[in-house]
Amino acid sequence: MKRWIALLLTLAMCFALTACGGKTTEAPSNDEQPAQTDAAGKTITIALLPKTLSNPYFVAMQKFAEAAAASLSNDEYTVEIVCSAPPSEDGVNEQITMFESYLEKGVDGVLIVPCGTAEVVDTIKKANEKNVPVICLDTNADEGAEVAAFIGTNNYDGGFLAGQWTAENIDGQVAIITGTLGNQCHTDRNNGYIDGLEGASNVELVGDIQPCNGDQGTAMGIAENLLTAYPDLKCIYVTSDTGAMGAATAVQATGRDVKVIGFDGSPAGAQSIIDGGMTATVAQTPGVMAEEGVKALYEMIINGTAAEDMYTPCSMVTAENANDYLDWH
Amino acid sequence: MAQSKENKDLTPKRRKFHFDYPWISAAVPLVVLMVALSFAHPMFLTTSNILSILRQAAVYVIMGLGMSFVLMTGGIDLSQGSLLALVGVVSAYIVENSGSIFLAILAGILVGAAIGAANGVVVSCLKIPPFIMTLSTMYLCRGLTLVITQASPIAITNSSFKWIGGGDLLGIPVPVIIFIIAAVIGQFILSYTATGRYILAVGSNREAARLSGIKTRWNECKVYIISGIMVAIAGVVYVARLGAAQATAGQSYEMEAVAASVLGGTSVLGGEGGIIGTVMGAIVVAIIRNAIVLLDVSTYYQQMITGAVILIAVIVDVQRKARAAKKVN
Repeated sequence: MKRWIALLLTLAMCFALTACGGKTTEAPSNDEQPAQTDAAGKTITIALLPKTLSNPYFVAMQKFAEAAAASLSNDEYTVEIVCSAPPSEDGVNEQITMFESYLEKGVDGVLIVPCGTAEVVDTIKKANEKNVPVICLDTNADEGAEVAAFIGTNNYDGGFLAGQWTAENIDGQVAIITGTLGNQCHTDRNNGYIDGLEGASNVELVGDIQPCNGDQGTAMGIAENLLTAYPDLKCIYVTSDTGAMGAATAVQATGRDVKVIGFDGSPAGAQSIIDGGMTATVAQTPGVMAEEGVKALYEMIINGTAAEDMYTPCSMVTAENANDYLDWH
Repeated sequence: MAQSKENKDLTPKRRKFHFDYPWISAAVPLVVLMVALSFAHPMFLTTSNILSILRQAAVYVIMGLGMSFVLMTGGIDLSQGSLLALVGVVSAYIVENSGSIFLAILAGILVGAAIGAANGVVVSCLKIPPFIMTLSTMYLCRGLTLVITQASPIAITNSSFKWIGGGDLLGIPVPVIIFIIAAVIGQFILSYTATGRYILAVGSNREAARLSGIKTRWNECKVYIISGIMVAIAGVVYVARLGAAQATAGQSYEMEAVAASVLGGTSVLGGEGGIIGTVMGAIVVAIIRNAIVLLDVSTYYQQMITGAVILIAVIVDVQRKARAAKKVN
């Protein structure tokens, strides 16, 4: 009896899952049929594989990609985006599994933000074998496989921009809080920042780079400790807006005049600048990355035009222009 | 101080309070760290730094208290970190939309108690191992939180709500007052109620406890409800402190709670544990974090130091218990 109940429950769960997954499973099955040309025209299916969808940054990417696909669709071609992502940014293995299953199902092109830059190389090779073009967004894959193009922020340049801004606007001690130790994006943002500060005699870098692992609460704790350790601290640079907001809360609680610079240019970060929390942030443009990625793949698939590497612009967001950044670009 | 405790330990008559012995494993590193750091850095022993350490430890202390009760029965609650995020999102949503702080806290605690009860019922009645059940609720809660927020953070503007996390009362931070109250209640349950004794009895020998008429299922269920409620309180403090609820908050916080409990002398095999030890254990971890920044130790060593302190404390504790057991025999 018990076994039957268990079996029934499992079955019910499976049905529930397929019901939830309706959206994603629908799309690939749609494209299988139009692989043979029919009267309504061809469907071009592009798989988008962001690091995760639990971060608004990547959700923006998905929205912009879908919008770009809709605007590119015409009577002859329908462009469709299928998207899935691991629950968190370190889901290297899950992402590769998703990538592989998209290749199995058959897609026309892939946009990926690799969770693991080295681990993804072999799967990109498989895509190469199947002649499926792959474009890396935001984060580039390591050497070894043929990536059609890289479209994203130059994290080093973004960090450099923040460094220069600091050198111009801050006099005194500066500390750095980073995302995850060993993550290339964040390392580049740190290195760019440190190089941007170079030669500025008015700024002194203090303390070792502390990791907040993208957690707002951890960033807040680190900032509190930094504020205690360095009574003359004038500025904290955090390599993500989520962390920067935590640091800003810590600064506000002490009432000291310490500037907090973030990285991302997220709507929440811009709002924090308007509310007097953070001071500045380096804006990235996930929307532009996704748009350009979809366009480049479309050109490649339809016209055979080779895609080119592209750095999307970074800009400094401060109280003056924060209002323009309340939505992702 | 340590010695007088040891003496008491050997006179069974005076072993009335349950905090009498297990907490030495946390007290020793606590005292050693305090003394060493007060010499090593002039800022360490300032009131503001001590208060800031306590404020940082608050969330972990409260979660650790819940975890200790679960560990005392020989179980574990892996859903804590995800539940923290869920409760945070629920109370942030309610306080922003209704403006009622009371309603927000009440809803948060109800959610915590409900998830805790679900864990408890399944573990105790369906005989599902606690590790598996709470692992499932860990994913369920995290997923639910993402569904509710759609991955974007909920900002809290209600300044009276934020007072719970950032304000003080008579110079003492509110989160610290909350954790002290929670610890006092926890100690009361453990030392002065039948429930406390039953929980320890279930943890040390379930069969013996059942045969002596203890409702083992109900008592096992209770610890998960206590854990859920403690996490709910921690969740409210967490979001109130940060002024924003993130779906990704609290990842791997349950491990911090286990670390605090174990450092404080609670046995993961059940049957033994204390409240004061857990409080001190969480503070020790917060002090290590603080010291890393104050002394400008390379961040790469932080996790190694935490791991080493836990390991040494537990080894010393186990040895001490073995020796005490020998003497009694």
